Amino acid sequence: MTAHLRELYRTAYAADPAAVDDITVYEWFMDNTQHVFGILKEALPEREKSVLQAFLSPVPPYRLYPEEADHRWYRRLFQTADEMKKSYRFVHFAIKQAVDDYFAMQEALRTLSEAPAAVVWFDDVSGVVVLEGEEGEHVVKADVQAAVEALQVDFLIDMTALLGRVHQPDVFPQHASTDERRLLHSLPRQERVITVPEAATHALFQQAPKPMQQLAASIFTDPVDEELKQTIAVYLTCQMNASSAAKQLHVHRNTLQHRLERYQAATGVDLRSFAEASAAYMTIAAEHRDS
Amino acid sequence: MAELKLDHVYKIFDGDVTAVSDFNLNIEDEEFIVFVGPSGCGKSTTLRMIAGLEGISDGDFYIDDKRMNDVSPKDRDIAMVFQNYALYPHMNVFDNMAFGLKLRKFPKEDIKKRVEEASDILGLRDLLDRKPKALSGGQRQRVALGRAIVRNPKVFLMDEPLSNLDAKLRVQMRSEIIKLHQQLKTTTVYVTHDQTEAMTMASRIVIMKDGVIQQIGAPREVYTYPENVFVGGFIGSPSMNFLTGQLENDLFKIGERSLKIPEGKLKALRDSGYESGAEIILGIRPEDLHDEQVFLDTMPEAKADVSIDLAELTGSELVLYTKIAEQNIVAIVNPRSNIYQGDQIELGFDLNKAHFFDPATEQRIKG
Ligand SMILES: Nc1ncnc2c1ncn2[C@@H]1O[C@H](COP(=O)(O)OP(=O)(O)OP(=O)(O)O)[C@@H](O)[C@H]1O
Ligand SMILES: [Mg+2]
Repeated sequence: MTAHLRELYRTAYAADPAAVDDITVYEWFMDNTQHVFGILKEALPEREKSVLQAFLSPVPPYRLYPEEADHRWYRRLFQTADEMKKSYRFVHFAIKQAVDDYFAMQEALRTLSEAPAAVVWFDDVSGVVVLEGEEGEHVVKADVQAAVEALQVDFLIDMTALLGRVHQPDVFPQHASTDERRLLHSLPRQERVITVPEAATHALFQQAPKPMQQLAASIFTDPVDEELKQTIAVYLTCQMNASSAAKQLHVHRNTLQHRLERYQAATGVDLRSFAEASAAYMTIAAEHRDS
Repeated sequence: MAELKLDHVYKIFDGDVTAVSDFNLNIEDEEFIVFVGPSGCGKSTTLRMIAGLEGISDGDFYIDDKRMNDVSPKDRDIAMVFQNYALYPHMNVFDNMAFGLKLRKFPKEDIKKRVEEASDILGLRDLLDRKPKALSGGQRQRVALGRAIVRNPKVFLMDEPLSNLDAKLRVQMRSEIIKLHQQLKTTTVYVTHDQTEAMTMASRIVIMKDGVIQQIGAPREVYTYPENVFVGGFIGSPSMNFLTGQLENDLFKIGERSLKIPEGKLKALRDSGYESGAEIILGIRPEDLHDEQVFLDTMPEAKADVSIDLAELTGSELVLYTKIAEQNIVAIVNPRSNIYQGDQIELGFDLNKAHFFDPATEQRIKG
């Protein structure tokens, strides 16, 4: 079949997504042998397009995996796992707005590591970057944050990401991915990037029964206003370092000290107690989760 | 080149959180507009509506007379700069700057030319091969700016781009951004909660509180004529002093003390219907309080005896902390004045430069 089409469309036919300059000017299809090919959009009138779509599976742009590693990881995540030798680490991501150029987005995502990383999409607004071996061990949260901000600026989208744990090759990728992908949803609103331990802490709290959450809110957040809540959140994320918290909040140290005292007076919470401080932090963060 | 217009714009989250309320603003071509206000006042939300990252709940937004409400962000010809170093960690400086252009299918030669031009402007020419990890904080921030500049967009949107830099670097980058704007003249909307940044950078400042614009004006204008108590207190450091007292004939009475109100100010109060006995708020800047004998002699009816709680010599100025009738006052005087904690001094009030505010509405009484 594809041979016929190749003859029919000639120069408008592309046999391989990886071999074209601009992936976005083609419509992509998959035949029954799972071979992906493209036809130039401008060479494809609406009627012909409908006919081809009826006989072949249209391939959405985010499903075009130009790299062999993408295919390998697609199979590992959606079909059958093969034997792996290297450890691996996922960065799951979600975007709020769909993009035009998935190919360019993939190219940018690959630069999360020194050697090009594999990218697999779950749908048009979420996916995973896979970092193998040492690449995975070297990546830190700040790298992911920088890349996510760069992507947001370049593609003008909202993006969030979860930096996963390093998994040994004997861990089943589908399981690891499913668990971590779920954790991405526990991200507090003001954060863009979160790590597994951070996400797990938030998820734990969010999954507590409603009456428990209400009890926590009545202790840690209800008695105070937004400004105080935010102050406490920043203070605690700054490891209770008053100078850096004051700097981040753009207030004088004395103002910060005064607010901390007001918070403790209003709630009866002792922020020097690790248990109380961490519960306060989780309660405040949970209120600020995207609904 | 672009003009922006926000017309009765609202943002309501989840049906009940009103983050921005009835926002009206015309931004002229080549302007450098700064949104300033405390945390949570809606600065970023407004910027994100301009970018198209956030839908507009009500009202209209125009760029050059074209309604933009439903235009997708990438078709608005804007470039954003955020507070962190938005750089791809494993791309070198050149590729980082080039990426947005590659994405938009610019020809290779054009990309090279634009990146080189931008890197000359930003002093990055020798760093084009470096990876972000091998750059200083200031250099990274410059690359982040470069990524926006190469696009040569209609509008720059910057959300606290300097807030992660240390104080010294922040001051330096501040003036670099101003210079950059003088050179490129691209219409810019800049968000900060630092009033000094707003005062030093803006062609006009938009001061916001709780999602509502409090005042729009040139830095000097909002500093000299604050519309209300909030603006007076927010703009300027140390903050404007506010003293609640009574109008009594031509005097402003605070406890035992009384200050003579100048003719013009008195007329304004009378014209606005404030009679003897009315409670009003006096707002006066620290630098409009005086300890010099010349001032005290020329304005003998506008001074008060105070005792100094604290005298801080910062170098270029002497900051005095005192109270009148339990209300705090900060004064800035000549650092050569010999005034110390515990001293009793006479403090002169330059009421010609002061303002009166209504205690109920907190609006400035204009007459
Ligand atoms: N996605 C959202 N859902 C619900 N409420 C939101 C959302 N985003 C922002 N808000 C609320 O809208 C208000 C304005 O937020 P915004 O981020 O615009 O403030 P800001 O002036 O930029 O503050 P900051 O100086 O802290 O950055 C805040 O009360 C915030 O909690
Ligand atoms: Mg903000």
